[in-house]
Amino acid sequence: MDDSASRRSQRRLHRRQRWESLFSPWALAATGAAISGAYLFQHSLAVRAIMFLFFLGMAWLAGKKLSLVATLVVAAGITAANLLVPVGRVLAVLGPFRLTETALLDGLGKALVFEGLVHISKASILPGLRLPGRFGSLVASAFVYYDRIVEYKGSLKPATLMADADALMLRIWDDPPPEKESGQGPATEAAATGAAATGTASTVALVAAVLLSYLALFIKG
Amino acid sequence: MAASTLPPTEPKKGAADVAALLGAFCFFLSAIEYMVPKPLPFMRLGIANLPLLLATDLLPLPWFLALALVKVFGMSVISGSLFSYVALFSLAGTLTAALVMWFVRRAFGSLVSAVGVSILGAVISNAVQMVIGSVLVFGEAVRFIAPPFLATGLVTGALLGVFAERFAKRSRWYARARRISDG
Repeated sequence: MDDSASRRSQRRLHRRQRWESLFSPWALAATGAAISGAYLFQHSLAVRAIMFLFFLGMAWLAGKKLSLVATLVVAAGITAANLLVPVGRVLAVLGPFRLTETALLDGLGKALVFEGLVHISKASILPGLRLPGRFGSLVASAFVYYDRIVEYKGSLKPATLMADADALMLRIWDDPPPEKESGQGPATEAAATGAAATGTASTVALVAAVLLSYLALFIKG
Repeated sequence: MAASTLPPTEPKKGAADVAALLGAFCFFLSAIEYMVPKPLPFMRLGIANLPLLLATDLLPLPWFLALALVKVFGMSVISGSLFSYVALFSLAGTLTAALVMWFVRRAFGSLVSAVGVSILGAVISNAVQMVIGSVLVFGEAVRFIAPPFLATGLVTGALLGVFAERFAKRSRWYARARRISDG
């Protein structure tokens, strides 16, 4: 990794730690779920696009890995797929292909929803999110095993993959049981130091974000 | 699938431990798959289904379904896609494929190989995702996307099945887990 990539990675990690210290995982997840609902019901393409940019910014602030190229490629793919079936007024004709208005707007709308929901999730799902009950315990155990796999993954070689995978499974299997450790969700420094409680200012910000997303449903356009 | 060596004693381990370890491998394989470039975000090679395939002979239905749900939830948390269509595609595809694979394995036993079970699971998972994709994302254009998507499932399903068959025959861990499931 060169110096600039290393610095970018450091900055991203710093943003991530700050984000995780501001919100409790459940408060943020509930906010993400509520905003997802509002976003799904948003029919204005312009408002949807603005909200998408907001979610993109939030995911960036959350220190998540983002790829604008991948986002654009996926959005273009979804839009192009929708253009394959012509619907509505013909905007242009390119050989046998007819570019139609309704298909284009539908495609853009679906692409924005698809990518917007991905970015809402990126911003609102923290590694420390714990589920209650037996299922929650099972998920927590799986994440403890996962941390061990990540720790030992260097022992996996392509040439001897099957034998290495078996040895890895045996090694993890024979380690002390996961109940001795804590945590659910992939380990990060912030998760390891404990989930943050959502402060007053953070709570106000989350409530405001939810209210704004639902108020935006009344915007015509 | 048959285990090769008889295991030693296996204290204090149960179906929950098997499900948790296989769930962890689902996350790990999913993380590897996440790095592979693909034209559509939910268009996956399906390597994260390998632990599910191995589990068809190891876990009773409730634990098997719990493993499928752990896979979907954990992968969604790791990739940060819990509230997105990606998670919905994953949930529908995984649960349907899991149910079909488990029942086929239990109903037909060794009459259907791991390769057959794997192909069935992969194709059904992809078909379910295409149906949901047609409603939410692609509309009628899904008919252009479905053939390569289903063909991919066929190929990756076969390859995973071959790997699972061989792994189950040679793995010492699988033999020990099998002993737990046999009581």
